[in-house]
Amino acid sequence: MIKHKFKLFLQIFLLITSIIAFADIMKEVQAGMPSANMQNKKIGLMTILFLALKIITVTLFNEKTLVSALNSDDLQKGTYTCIKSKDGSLCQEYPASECNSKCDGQCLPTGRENVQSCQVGTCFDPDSGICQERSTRESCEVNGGQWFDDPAGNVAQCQKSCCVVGDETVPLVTLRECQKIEETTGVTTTFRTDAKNEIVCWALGKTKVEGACVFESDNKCRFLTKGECYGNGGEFFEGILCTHPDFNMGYEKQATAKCVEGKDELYWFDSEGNRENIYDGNKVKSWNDGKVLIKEESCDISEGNNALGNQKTCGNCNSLLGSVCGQKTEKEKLSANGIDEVCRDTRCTDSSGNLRENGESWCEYQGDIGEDKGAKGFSRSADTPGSRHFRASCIDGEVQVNACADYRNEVCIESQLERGDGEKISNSACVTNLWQLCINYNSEVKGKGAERKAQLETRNDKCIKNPHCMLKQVDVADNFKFDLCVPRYAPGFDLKKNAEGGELSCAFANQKCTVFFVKELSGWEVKANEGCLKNGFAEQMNDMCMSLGDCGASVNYMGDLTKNYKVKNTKKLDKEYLNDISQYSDTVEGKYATMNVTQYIDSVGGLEKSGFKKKDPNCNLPVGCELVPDTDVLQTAGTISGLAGSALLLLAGTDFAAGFFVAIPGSGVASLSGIAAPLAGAAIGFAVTSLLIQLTGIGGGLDPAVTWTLIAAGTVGGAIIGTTVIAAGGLKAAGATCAAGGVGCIVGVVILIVVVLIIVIFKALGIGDTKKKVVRFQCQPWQPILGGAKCGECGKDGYDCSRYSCHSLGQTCELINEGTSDEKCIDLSPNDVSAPIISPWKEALNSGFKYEENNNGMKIISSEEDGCIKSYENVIFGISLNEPGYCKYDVKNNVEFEEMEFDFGDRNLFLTNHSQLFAVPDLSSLGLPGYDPNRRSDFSLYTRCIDGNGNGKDSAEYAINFCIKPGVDKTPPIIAGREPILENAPFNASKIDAKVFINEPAECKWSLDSNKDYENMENSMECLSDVEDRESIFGWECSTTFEIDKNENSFFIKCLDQPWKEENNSERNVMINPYEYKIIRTTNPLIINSVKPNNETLIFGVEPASVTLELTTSGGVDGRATCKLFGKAMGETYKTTHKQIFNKIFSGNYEFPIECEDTAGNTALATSKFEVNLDSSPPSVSRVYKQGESLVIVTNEDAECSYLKFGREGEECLFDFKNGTIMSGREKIHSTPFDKGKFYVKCKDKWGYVPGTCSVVVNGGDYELQ
Amino acid sequence: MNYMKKRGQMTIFIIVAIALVVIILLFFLFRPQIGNILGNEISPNSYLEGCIEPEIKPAVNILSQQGSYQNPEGYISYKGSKVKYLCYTDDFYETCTVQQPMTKGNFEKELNLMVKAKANKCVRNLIEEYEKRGYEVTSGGIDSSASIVPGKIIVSFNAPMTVTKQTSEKYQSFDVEIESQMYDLLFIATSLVQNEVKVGDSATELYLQYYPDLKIEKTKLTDGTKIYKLTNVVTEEQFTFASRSLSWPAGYGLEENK
Repeated sequence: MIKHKFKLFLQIFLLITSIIAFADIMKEVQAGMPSANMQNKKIGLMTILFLALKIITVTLFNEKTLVSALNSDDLQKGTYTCIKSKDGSLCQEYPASECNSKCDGQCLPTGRENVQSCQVGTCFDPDSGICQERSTRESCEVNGGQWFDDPAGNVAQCQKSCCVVGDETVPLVTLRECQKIEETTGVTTTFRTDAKNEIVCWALGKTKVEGACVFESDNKCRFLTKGECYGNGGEFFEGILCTHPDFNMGYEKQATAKCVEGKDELYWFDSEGNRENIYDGNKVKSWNDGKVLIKEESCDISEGNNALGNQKTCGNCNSLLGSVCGQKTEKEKLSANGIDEVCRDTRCTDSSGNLRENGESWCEYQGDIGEDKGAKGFSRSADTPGSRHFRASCIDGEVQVNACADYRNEVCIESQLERGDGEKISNSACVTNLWQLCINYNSEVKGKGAERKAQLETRNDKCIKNPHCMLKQVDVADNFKFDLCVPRYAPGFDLKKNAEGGELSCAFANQKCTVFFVKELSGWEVKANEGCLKNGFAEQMNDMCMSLGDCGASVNYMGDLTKNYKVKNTKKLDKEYLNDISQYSDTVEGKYATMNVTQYIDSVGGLEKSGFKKKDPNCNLPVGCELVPDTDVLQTAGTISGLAGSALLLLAGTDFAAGFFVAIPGSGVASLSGIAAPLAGAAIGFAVTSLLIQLTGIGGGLDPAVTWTLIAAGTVGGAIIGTTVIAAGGLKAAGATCAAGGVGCIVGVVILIVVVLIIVIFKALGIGDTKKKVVRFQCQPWQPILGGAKCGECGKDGYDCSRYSCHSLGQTCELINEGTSDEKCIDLSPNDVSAPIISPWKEALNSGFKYEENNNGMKIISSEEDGCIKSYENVIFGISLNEPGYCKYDVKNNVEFEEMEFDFGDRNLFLTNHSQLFAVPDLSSLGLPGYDPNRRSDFSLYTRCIDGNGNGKDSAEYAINFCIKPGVDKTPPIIAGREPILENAPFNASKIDAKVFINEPAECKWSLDSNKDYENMENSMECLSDVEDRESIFGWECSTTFEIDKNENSFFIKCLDQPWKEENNSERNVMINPYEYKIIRTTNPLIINSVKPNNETLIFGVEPASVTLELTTSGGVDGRATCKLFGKAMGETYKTTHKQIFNKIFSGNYEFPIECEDTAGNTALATSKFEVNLDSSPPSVSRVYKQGESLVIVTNEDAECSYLKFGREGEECLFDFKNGTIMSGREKIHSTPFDKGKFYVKCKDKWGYVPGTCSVVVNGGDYELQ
Repeated sequence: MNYMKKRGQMTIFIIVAIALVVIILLFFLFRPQIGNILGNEISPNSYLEGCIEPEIKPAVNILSQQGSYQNPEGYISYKGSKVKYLCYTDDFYETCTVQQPMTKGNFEKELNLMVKAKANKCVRNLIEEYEKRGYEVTSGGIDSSASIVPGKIIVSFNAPMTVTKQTSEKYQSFDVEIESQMYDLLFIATSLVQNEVKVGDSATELYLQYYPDLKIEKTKLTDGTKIYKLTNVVTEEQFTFASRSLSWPAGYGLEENK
């Protein structure tokens, strides 16, 4: 007789599963493992120790009514444009639902690029000549500027070159700026269009020749430049001082010494104030018999290795070597009395006591950084929560420390270069942390078999090549080993504002390892994954967890350790491991982040070779070799930065970049933050978009472009998920009360597809039976220590305190008066000793249930007569606190808070509202005895909550009481979702891999005949019907492959529930009406209709020029597609029109391959080919004739012509074009009344090129071409 | 008796000498006023300069701390000042849109607005001063403008007037010049904004190479805003503005409505 008794224990295991891709990875890992057929259960005798109620938990994020931040309309409308916002900003985009509340005026239901006054172009200031790119038309014109429809400044007025001003030069100014300099200084200027970079421009400046300038009129001498002397009417003596004895001026030589503006050195001055030679304690040598002594022959301020060894006696300062003339100090002064200046040491001492050169920059960190060796020698990330990277530089003797972006969104990289004298000089930069790309690489692994293998190799390759990523290995057991691409510099999270985002990232490290036992004669023996039960599993998993961001067991930058992880059925992290990671709050001397710049730029995908070559192949300058385009090598004439829409022409480590940024050692590195940032922006944007799109199930018909704008606008991506889930009926099936976007909807946001749990079921099985134990690791967001005792420490390490670093110091730490001079990190509740007060959260409870409060807590009562919850019933409930708190519960009472087994809602966050979904399965599915209508079970969840100060640990438990009764499952299964979500299939598809998701374990079949009964359906589907096989929020998965032979295909699916009752089919429920799985094959292929430019020659007057590549698509699903160039999405796409602007186009031939794909997978290819020529010549006159009473001039290109009839003899053709009389006609034909006299004609083309002399001179029937 | 007489004479001489010295000293100290009292010529430019200069410097100071605006819209509060965003985007992952493409022109316009009333008053006072001295003054309208050029700030008074007393003098306009390096600071600010627009950030050390008297402090705030403070270390003039370009959210930026 089988007796059984069971004691009902509630075991709730919440597992946050990784996203589908990771689940796939894990499936691969587990593919080789023996599977336990859970359906072959026998009912155990006696010793069923506990029976777990299966609780399916969905995490609800209702803390701040996130759904209300975004309603379902936004998902279709995307963002609207506001010309002027209430905060005063211009031309901003907001989600449609928010726009009106933020806009000072009407919101326009379109993107910014479609609003004329918000179109970006280049604004030219006609007064100053300054050009400002990416200016909106309105802001430009209202201020009196001239606006051009070219956001990159490729217009004639904004061409920059070298302005020669007397003996000096000013590089990279516009023509108008150069003219302005002449107007304001009175010095004649020349605009040199042949000197387009600084090096060449500076070379045009003349070396100033200096010497004595004697004025006979008053017998005075002044030490001047040649130009100044002649300009003042003096007699110039090159290289001679005024105190030269031949002049006999009577001036006292070397009367004083002082600094000179614009010069590094300390100089002697005579009694009349004339500059003499560089100060030297050896006066005779310095005076040099009254002649100029050049710098190189003057005294040497250095002595041996000491750059200022002769500081007391020599004034030959050298800014490049660490000294410049300045006021003396107590420590730095000349030996001689009476001189207040000296060569000041401009070097610095850094925080480690190292001497740094003037201009040198280096990295400083708040702890260990980057990669370190962890458990089993595998890598892990060492950056600690709250820490930030800093870039320090030595500027004129002062150390300036600038923080990189917070949350480690930027990291500081350093390179060391060897100077000519062998000294190593550091150069550093804050560069964008590409961590999002690392995570995203993993989601690109989707396929099966050989395809998956290839994808894994690609993923690994990308990961290794990205200098901000590393391949994290996990090797715990024979069937539990895998690699994951993780950030090398783990990012930080803002858990107060962005808890969901933190959970999302950390969830990638939630894993389960199934250990299999087989019953042998000697007892249960482990047959697979024994390693998961031992030391090492938790360590390796925590290493992965820490590497994803502020997750897991870790220390903050001050060294406070908290353990934010959960393990089940295996050992916890050992002491030695915890000690080891505690060291990460200490900086490691000499350790800094390095980076291969080319690899970095390649990782952001946008930088192609620009195809430049040296004009002079023999040029060996380290920087500044002049470069010309090499279109033979060209792939793109710039980079495609996708949504940013801008193209950059920047190279790292090449002459061009070096020349571009001029004479800065390692300039490629120093400038890198600027170079790659927008490329990173686009690349990261795409990575985030694609990842969130996958998580949200974008296939629900949401326009990716819309999604992107919403994500960029910082709105909650999870709302998209929530709404999609709701729309798909997933949560409706779960009994959620909310309708999509409805008021009071609390089940709106499901960022994490948190599903499934594990039931530990122990049964005594006979010989040859198997059992399995599932070992789990849950990676939780990192939380600071309780209280706020350490808030005041913020900033005491010498680095500015920020919100992130403040929050990391304690739960109750907050940065107040941010942005003011009273900014500080304080404990918000130092005197709070009260525990959070727990009460029922009424809004969380779904309909059909009610709370009944009592002295010890509350009871959840259903609408059944006995108030008990039936099997297959789902209830959502929650608790509300009077202050943010962290809640846990256990099925036993009087358990210490630390020992309580479960986190409420499976979250370790401090929130005011906590909720939980509770879905009761059929008890018989767990192998329990059959239906006994009289059986009841009462149980309670004993709950405690603590606040940020830890109050509440010892408070009375809050008991949430239920009763459960077994129910007869009388409802047939429901198909809650499908994959792919869209019904569309590609034009030429012949089969499709299909999945459906059922709300309970079931077996499914399909047929082409909708009238067939389940039993007669011909085709079976492959179903994961084990209770624990639920991986999706939509339910249990059944899959098959459908053959498609026509354009509209319908496949009818029916399912039969309770697969474990195969002997008792009468108790099972079958779907009466079939589910129609439709597949609609697109009837037309996707076509690229028009590509512009293509097979044409484009002529520009300026170089570089801007070219807009445009194309349209049609066919496919609805004509819309995503179009890419070189694998990167075009600047504007996801529609039927597509555009990409290139703003660094030089003369040459171009070929761009274009690939487009629509949502059904239809693809189309095309190519854009064109030639670009530069027209830098003014128009020429090709014909001149008289027509009636008119003079007609024909030019070789569209032009404007003007003429003068009179002028100074010999200078008639030197007139300014705008001062002439404009002829009519703007294209090639120009005319004017032809009266007597000579016509001096000039013609100007649309680029503004005008000849220096006349285009033609016409005289009463004759003409003379110039 | 004779001795006493000589001592007395000596005393008188000493007193007279002291009085002469004092008078001469007073004369040099108060010459303009004495000149005025005695009816000497007014120098209109000097007069206007003395009148308007105390107004210009505080105005420039306010504008320079607030990104060239007296009452900025679209700003961030930082250390007690409203720092104007010269380039801004509300979004993440994208470069900013220029909010004020003509910073120098705006600075001039705002400065003129701030000093205009005083400028008008100064001209009127000048006219009154002439009239007090018996001059006949015919004047037209008064207008002023400010311009910032390399090395100076010029406030121009467009105040045509004819001053007659025995002879006539015609004036069309007057220029008051104040030494200032604000032009360079505004030029560099414009360049920094260009970098923010193009690449989302700027490499400030490059400017320090070209402008040895320049100090640039760039502070990155948590929300992605950068505060730029440009200072001429010699003249101690400064210009501050804000930019928000190519910002990154913490984590995936999945936060509640901002």
